[in-house]
Amino acid sequence: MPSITKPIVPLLDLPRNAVGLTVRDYEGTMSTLCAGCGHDSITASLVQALWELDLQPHMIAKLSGIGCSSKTTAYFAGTAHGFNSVHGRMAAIATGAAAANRDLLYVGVSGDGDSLSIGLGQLMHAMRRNVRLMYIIENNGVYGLTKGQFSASADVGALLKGGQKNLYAPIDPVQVGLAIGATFLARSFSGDKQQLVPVLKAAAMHRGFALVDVLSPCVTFNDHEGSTKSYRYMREHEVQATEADFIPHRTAVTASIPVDGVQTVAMHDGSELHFRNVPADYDPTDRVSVMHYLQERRDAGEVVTGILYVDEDAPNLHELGNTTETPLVKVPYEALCPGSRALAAVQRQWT
Amino acid sequence: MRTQIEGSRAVARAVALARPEVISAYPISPQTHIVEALSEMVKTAELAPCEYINVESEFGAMSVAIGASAAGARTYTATASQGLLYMAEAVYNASGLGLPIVMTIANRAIGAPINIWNDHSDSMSQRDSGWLQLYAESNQEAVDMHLQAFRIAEELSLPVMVCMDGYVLTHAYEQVDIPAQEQVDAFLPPFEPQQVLDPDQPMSIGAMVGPEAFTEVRYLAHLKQMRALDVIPEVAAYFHTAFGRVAGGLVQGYRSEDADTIVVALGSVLGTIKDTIDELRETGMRIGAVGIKTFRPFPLAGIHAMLGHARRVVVVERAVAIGIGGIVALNVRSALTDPAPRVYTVVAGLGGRAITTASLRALFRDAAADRLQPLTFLDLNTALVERELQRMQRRRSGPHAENMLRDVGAIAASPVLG
Repeated sequence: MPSITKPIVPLLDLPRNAVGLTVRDYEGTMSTLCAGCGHDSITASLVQALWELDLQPHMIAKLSGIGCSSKTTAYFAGTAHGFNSVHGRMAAIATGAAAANRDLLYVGVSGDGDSLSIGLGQLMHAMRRNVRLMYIIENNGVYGLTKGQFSASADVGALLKGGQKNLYAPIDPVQVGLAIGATFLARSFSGDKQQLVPVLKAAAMHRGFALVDVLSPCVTFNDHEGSTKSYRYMREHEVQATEADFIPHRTAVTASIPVDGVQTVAMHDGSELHFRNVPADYDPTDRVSVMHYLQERRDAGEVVTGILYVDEDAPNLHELGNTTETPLVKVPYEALCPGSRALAAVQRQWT
Repeated sequence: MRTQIEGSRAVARAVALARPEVISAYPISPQTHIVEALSEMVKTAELAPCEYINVESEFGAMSVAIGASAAGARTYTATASQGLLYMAEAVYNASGLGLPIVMTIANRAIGAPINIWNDHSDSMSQRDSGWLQLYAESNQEAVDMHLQAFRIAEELSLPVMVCMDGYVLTHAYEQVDIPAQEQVDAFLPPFEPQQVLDPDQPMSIGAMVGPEAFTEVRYLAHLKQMRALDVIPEVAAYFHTAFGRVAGGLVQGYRSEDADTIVVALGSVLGTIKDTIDELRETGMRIGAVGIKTFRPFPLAGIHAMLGHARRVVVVERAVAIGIGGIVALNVRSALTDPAPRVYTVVAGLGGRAITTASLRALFRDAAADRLQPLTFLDLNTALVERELQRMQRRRSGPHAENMLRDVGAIAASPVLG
C-alpha cells in the first residue's frame, strides 16, 4: 500500500531531548485515517511521550494487528522497528519478541475489535505472563475498517449510525485485566492530551504489561447521537478518577515537593508515580477497591479515566522465567550450547 | 425479477430466499456486505425465523455454524482470506461431521504480505478439507449456485463452499435476476437433517475414532464426494428446468469442441477469457475455453471428455502452489491420459493484479505457437525480482515485501528528518 512521506521542513529551533532528537524525529508517515479520527490524537500523544522519555527510536519496537488502529504504528517513530501482525495475534507476537530481546521497548497498538473479539485470548495471556509491553487499545466501539459494525466494547443500548441497537454486554479490558492479575491498567480519552501523555509515559516505564485503554471516537461510523463512544458522549461522561504525575528517574524525589495526601508508587527504574488526586477509599494499588469503584461509577454512567491500577512488585515474564539479563538474541552461541563436554559433566552428577 | 444490484447484496438475497435459520459471521473484506445485508434482513424480519449471531472471530463463526447445523437448522456463513484460514480447524470439523453448512468465500489473497484484493489462495488452501467447492463466473451464477448449494449440501449431508471473486464480483453492480420466493420454495424443500440433536432420540456427535475405523470414515467422506459428481449435474439440470437458466454443474465449455488450444479457468476471469477467445477466433485461431464450476469433487471424467482432443491446454489460475506451480493445472493433468495434450500453467491475477485482455491475447498467441514455458507468471515484473535477489546476497537484506515496495515507489525510503 502506498504511504505518504511527510515533507522535510528543517525546523532547527525545535528543542532537543537528552538523546539529541526533536519531537519530529518521533513522527512517522502521514496518516491516511479520516480527518478528526481519535487515533491521530493518540499518535500525537505517543510522539510527545516517546520524545519526553528520551528514548532512542532504534530501541523501540512497534507492533500492531488488523484494523484502523493497527495502521497507526506507521504514523509515529518512523525509524523504530515495526511489525504488523495478523488479526488479534499482536500480543502473542510481542510476547515472542520480548522473550528473545528484553532490551527493546515494545509498543503495541490495537483496537477494540482486534483486542476484545478475535484477539481476547492472546491479550489475556500476555497480561497474565506480564510481558513488558505497552498495549494501547484505540477503543471506538466499532469495526471501522469493515465500515462500522459493533465491536465487543460497544455498550448495551448504544446505537449504530443506521439506528441498530447493541444488545450485548460490553467487554471492559480494564475489568478483565483486574480479574486476571494485570499489573498496570489505565484508561484515557484521545481528546485529552494533557492526561494521555503522562499515562503513556508511565505505561512505557512499567516493568510488565501496561494496558492503556484509550477511548478514541470514530468520526465516520460512531460519532453520532446515541453513540456512547462519540466525542460528545466522552466530553459529557468522562470523569478523571485519578490524577497522577509521572516523575522520571532523573528528576525524581529531589525535584518533587511532598504534598499531603499524595500517594507515591515507586517504579522499578527509580521513576515515581505521584497520585495527586484520588477519590476517598480509592487505592490504585488495591485491586479489589479499584474493581469495586469502577463498577460503581460505570453503573452511574461515568467513563472513569486515569491510571487506575498499578502493581510494580509483580514479577514480569523474564523474572518469572528466570532468564538471563542479557537479551537472548545477544547471548553467544558458545554460552547457549557449551558443547558435549559440558553436557557430559552435567550428566555425571546423576551417575 | 431482474434488478441492478451489488453482487454481495444479490447473494444475500439468494441466501435469504433459501430460508436459513441460523447465520453466524465475523466481518472481513470483501465478504462483509453479504452478511451485513443478511443481518439487516433478520433485523427487519424480512428473513424470519432466523437467528443472526455476530461472533467474535471466524473460528467462532464456523463453530456456531457446526452447533446450529447439528441441532437441525439450515445454516449459513461467509468469510474470506485470513478468516477462512483462521477457521480452518472448524472447516475440517464441519465436513468430517457431515454437516450441510453453506459458506460463501469472497475470494481474497492470503498473507503475509497482507493484501485485501482478489485471488483464489484462500479457498484453494481448503480444497482438500472435505467441503464441496463451486466457483461462480458471474453474479447471476453466484446467486444461482447458492440456491443449488443448499440443495446439494442437504442431499449429500456435506458442506458446500460457493466461491466468488472478491471485489470483481462481490462489489460489482450489474443486472441480476433474483427469483421469487415461491420458485425457490418449490426448488428447495425444507431441511431434513440426516443427523440431528433431538431430545426424543438422544445421540452424541464427535466421537473419537482410532485406527480401527478412521480410514473407513475418511473413505466414506471420499465416496460421498464422488456421489456429488452425479448430484451436482442433477441439481443443475433441475435448476435449469425450474428457473430456465444454465448455472453451476461440473464443467462448462466455450467454443471448445473444435479447438486446438483450450484455456481452463475458474471464476470471473472466464468472462475476460471468453472475450479474448472471440477476438482470436476472428483471426482464425482455433481456441476455446473450459470453465471449471465444481473444483471439489474434481470432475476428472468431465475434464477428460472436454480436453482430450486438444493439442494444448492453458490453465489460467489465480493461486500458486509454492514449490510446484499450479494447483488447478496439477488436477487437470491427472484427468488427462496418453496421448495427453501439452499443459501450460499460468499463474495470473495474484493479489488483485488485473488480468487484461491485452495480456491474455499475447499469452494465448504464445501458447498456440508453443512458445510458453511450462510455468508462467503472467505480467511478472522480473526486474523487480532481480533487484531483490541481488539484495539478498547481502547479509540482513531485510523483509522482501518492504524492499520491493520501496523499489516500485509505493513506500518511500526512510525519511531523514531534522
